[in-house]
Amino acid sequence: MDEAAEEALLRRVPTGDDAAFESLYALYAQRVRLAAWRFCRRGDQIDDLTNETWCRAYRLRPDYDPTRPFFSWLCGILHNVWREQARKNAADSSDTAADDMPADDLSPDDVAAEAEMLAGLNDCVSRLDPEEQSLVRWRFFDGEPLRLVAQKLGIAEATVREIRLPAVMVKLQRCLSKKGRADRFFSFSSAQAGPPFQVISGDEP
Amino acid sequence: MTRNTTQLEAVLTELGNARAAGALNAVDAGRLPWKSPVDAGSVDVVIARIGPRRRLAWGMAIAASFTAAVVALWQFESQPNQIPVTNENTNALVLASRDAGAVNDMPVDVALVLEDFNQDGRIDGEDIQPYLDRVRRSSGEVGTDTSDFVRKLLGS
Repeated sequence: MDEAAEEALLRRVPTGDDAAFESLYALYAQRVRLAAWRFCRRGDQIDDLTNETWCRAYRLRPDYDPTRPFFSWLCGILHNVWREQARKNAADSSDTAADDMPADDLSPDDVAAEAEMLAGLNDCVSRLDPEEQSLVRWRFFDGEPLRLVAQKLGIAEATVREIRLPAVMVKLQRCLSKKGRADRFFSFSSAQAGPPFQVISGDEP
Repeated sequence: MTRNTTQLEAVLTELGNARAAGALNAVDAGRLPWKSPVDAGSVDVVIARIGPRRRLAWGMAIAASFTAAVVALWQFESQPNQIPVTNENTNALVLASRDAGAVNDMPVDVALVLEDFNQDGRIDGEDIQPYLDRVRRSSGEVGTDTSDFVRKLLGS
């Protein structure tokens, strides 16, 4: 969907246009799931958080300002839902209170940016060649050492480390740049005290 | 390796974590949460969200209700000779579904007018249609005999 079409949908949201809201749901549902996971870090809470977020967004749609980014608005609602749920969980069991409460510096805008980044990266990975996708899956999703990845691919470990992996990284960076998300993400990362995500350890060159 | 590449690797690892948690599972765009906020899946989540103390309280309440129901059923079934017809102040008669043998032990005036028409060992609503069929075969005047049957069934 191009930008103009999406803007047209957004303008129809405050008017109570159900069809427009349903189209936006199809467009943003995946990103809202990612944002929910960034808040709670628990797979078993994603469905609950996202369902409640969409229900509230539907009720609050007359209040939506079309000049404001829709996803940031959704993440604001999601943030409230998550904090309320964390408080309920804390009331039910003081043991889990510390784990369930979100970090103070986890703002809806930051989470929205990270979710956008992850969704964009996921799309870029899906556009890689099958062998490159396998490399990414084994190395980064499954956390396997380069030696095992090379064995599975049937090529030398040095080839994976020096040629294949750098080539995949370049492809992904170009893809993200095309989406206009690479600069945004890397500037966001630099603004933090450290990288927002943990770098996998092991046999790094 | 450049800083950007290292960061990209970190984000790829994070993407793997998100995938493992199910954050990237396919979304059914046809199932709109605001139109069906409670389904089987969300009920499971709600149950999982309930704290341990509430879960325990709910569990005890459910167990107590279940136990009470079992005891009531057991007491009811353990008294086969109890007359299943109760005469309330309003004179309305309530007929419980009972074994044919138990009905045979009823007071004579009630037991005589009721029969196990479908031969299933019980006298209940299932006997009405076989009774009607029998009447239809014999006289063809269902309406009169049906009201007669109902009158007999109610004991009036």
